[in-house]
Amino acid sequence: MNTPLLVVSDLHTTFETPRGLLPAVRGVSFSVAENQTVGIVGESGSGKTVLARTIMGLQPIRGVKLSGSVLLNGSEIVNRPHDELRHLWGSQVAMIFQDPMTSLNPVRKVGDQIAESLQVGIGLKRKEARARALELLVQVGIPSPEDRFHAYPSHLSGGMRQRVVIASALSCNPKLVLADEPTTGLDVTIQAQILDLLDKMKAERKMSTILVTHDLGVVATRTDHIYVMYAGRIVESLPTADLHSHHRHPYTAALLNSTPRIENKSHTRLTAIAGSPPNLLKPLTGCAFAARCSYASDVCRTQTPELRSDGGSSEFACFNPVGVTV
Amino acid sequence: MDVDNKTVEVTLENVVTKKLGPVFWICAVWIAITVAAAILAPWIGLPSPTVVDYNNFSMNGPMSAAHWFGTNDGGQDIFARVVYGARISLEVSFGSMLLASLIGGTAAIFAAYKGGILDTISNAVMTLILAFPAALAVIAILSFWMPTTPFKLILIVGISGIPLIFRVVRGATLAAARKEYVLAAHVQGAKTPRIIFKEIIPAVWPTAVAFFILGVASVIMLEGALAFLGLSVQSPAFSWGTLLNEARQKIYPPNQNFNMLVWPCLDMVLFIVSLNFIGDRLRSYFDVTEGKL
Repeated sequence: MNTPLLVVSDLHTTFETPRGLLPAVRGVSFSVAENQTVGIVGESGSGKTVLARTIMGLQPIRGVKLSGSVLLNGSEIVNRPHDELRHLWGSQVAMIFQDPMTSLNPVRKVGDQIAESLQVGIGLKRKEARARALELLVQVGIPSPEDRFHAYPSHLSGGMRQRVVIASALSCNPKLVLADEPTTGLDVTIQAQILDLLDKMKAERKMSTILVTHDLGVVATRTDHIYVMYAGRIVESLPTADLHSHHRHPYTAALLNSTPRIENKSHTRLTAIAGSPPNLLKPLTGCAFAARCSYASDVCRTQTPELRSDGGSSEFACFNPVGVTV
Repeated sequence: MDVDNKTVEVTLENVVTKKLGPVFWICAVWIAITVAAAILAPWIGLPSPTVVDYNNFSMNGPMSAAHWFGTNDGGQDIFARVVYGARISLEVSFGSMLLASLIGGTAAIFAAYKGGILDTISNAVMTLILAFPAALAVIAILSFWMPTTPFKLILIVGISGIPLIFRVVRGATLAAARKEYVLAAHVQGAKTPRIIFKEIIPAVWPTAVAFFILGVASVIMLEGALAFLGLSVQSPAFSWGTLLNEARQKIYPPNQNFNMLVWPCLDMVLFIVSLNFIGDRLRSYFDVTEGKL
């Protein structure tokens, strides 16, 4: 395998808040190969959105401390001003935002918005850009695209808007697409359509994708590799095929346990994970998950587990890993 | 698949279109007539508003074919004076609001989008100016800077309007700048000027236009109030406000002349009502974020 498209190593993102330093991402390392789809899973507040925005280079200069390195196709992203990143945005890396209701400008026609990203990103003339935008609307499966080209976002349904957002993000043929909870605001049936669309676009364009989500169901079937995040760290890294059968970290096990299953009897109570993620404003000793973990022992509360290999292609950060099966 | 072909229309818009309504058009026509008459006044065959018609002289004359609204205490044609009087009123109201919008609006968009110390300082300055009663300041400055000319009125009233429009536009800009579509444009490589012109201004525009139109209406009234205090333009120049101030002295016998009062007043009131109505309707019409279905 040649060099990966994206290499993240020991990335720290720390916010300077009025109440002290808040380490939102605490030493994350991973890589994404070309044409690979990677899922980042974690609950609210686990730092996955901050991680995605740091990879984009979107963190503000003031009030945020960054360390570590994000290499995209050999270009360093961390701690570079937005002016220097602008040539990477669009053509190298693009982002699909969570909420299609707010990521389109409500007072501009959708076709013009896509065309504009082509004009800005790869310098197409207005007329060419509009023709390409129309092609993109066709590609993302929008019915009667000539009509929709002149529609405002308020004329479109949530699923259609997200298709427009995808068309706009993919307009300049990025090598890497970061999708930050791309289906959270949508109905389940529409979610499947949007994810199918992303799969199709990925296959056609041979691009890499990072799918950030809290929904294990989304990543379980759509990705090649999964990173589970908790309290700003990756606690488990494993090939998607091993998710159900070979996970080792108790947090992954607990997440899987709290997912509803079709084989359960109706009215079965879901197993929730007790407690809530730790307050990162306070310094942590030991494993961040220890307070909520049913396998926690004394060592978990005093020492921080590092990621270690299970001998195969998985890694986990736990002193008391769960067994091979649940 | 020619995108520029304008015959391709959004079907949804064809089915349900926002209507401005007949009242809007009545108001619009009224405003158009008043403004056009004021601009074209010297060329539409009106009697002179200042020269007395000695062939047909009548002091405080009644309404007639020669003098539609009658004549005033100097024998001048009231209809002509109402039409000509609109010139200074409109000049001052549109001029001062344009001045206020250009300075206040530009500063607000720039400050709110850039944020940081620039925004903090300009916002503090505007709050400071707002804390001082603007009407009082206008009166005080005008009384020490006689004689009042339309230019002075535009300058002083315009400057006093800057903090108001700054506040309104700054709020709208802050709300727009926080939206994800601005961030989305940013990560697609758009630079600040493009974001301001393509993302921020279209979002701020309806609010600003509505405020502009309502502002014009209130400046017309402010000019009337200044004229009441004798602080508006000085004779022989006259505006709607000064016409009303002249008429105020003629509401008692023996030289009672209601024509001097009623007609300028009616014109002014109808104009302000129309402006307010149009401002409100335009705001909701241009608000495409409101669903049409």
